[in-house]
Amino acid sequence: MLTQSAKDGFDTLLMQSLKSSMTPAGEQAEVILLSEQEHAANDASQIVVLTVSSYLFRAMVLFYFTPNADTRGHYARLNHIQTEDMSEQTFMDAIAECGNLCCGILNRELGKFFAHLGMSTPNVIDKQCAAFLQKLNGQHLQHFAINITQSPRFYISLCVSSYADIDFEVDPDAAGSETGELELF
Amino acid sequence: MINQILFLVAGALLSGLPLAWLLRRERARMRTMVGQDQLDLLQREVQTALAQQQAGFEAQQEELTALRHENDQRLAHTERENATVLVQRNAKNSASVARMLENCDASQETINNLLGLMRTFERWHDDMNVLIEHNREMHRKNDEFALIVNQVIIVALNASIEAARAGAYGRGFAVVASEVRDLAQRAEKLSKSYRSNLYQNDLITTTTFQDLQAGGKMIIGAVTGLDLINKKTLETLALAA
Repeated sequence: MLTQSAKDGFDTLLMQSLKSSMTPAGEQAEVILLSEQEHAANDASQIVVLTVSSYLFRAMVLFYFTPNADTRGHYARLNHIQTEDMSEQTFMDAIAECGNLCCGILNRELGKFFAHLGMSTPNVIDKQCAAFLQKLNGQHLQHFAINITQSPRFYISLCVSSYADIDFEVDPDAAGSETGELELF
Repeated sequence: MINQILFLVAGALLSGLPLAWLLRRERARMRTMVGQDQLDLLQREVQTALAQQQAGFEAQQEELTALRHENDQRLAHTERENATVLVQRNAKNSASVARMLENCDASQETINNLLGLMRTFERWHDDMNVLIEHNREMHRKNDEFALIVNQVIIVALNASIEAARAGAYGRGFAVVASEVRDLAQRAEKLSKSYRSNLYQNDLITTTTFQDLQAGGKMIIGAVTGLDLINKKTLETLALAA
């Protein structure tokens, strides 16, 4: 149902969205594709999950995180605040908002290929839920990692289920080059 | 004498030939000249032809005038017909525009109702939060159950040790302790399987709900687009009416 070009397109758009949304100002970031074996090293404890849907497909994005000092430090830098000023609620809101921003960019970019799209609000689930990703009948499951200079490695998974033949092509050089206002929920 | 006769004949011949030639030429010229009668006849014929042509010309002019008059009448008639058709069409168009406005108003009402679907999505969101909280409660209860099972396994193990210490008197108790330990191990296995199912349930519930939520926003987005188009159509029709 999903062509290889479409799978690559979803991956490219998500990688660009991750880089745009998760990198604190002035830091360098690199997003890489991971194999199942490489993804096994992911020892995060929780997941923020979001869905971008159309009537042709649904794309679920899972952001893994462990609520520790390093993660707090990353999200504090991302939001330009001091770590000690970040309450538990502010910390969880910052993680959810980051996922929201990333999927907002993905939603906007996918909008260039699909006429009608919608995006969910974020939910937090336990990392052990990820063991059942195959139960979602996805035609495309890809893992990613983002390496940021002063932050711990963050893991991300993309699971796409399609309900029609989907084929589109993303130019990796053109994707993510635009910036602008996003519709936030 | 003969010579005289010859000279006379020769002289007569020499002078007669030019005269004959001149006579012949004069006759030929006379043949080409038209006589006065013929000239008069020709003049009369020309005058008759001219008169006929004049008469024809005048007839044609009259015919042309009549034709022009007829065309003017036809043109006036066509203009009157066109004006009538235009009035009728304008009336029809006005009726069509009025009907279209009514349809647009009806569409607008439906669109407004559809936009009210947002309340349904909000309800789903609340229900989802209840479901997630319910799942969390089940996780908590299952974790507590797992703790109890672990405790039972330890107690059963202690009971087996105590039964062994009691020797022959403790044999019956050892059997009971072993049974309890077996039951606890089965309960532990069941608890782990139940926990696994709860995580699976969390994932499926969350992603299904998110799909509903995103689908709802997609529908609201499409209906909002429809709302804009309908309002623009209403504006255009209002200007045309």
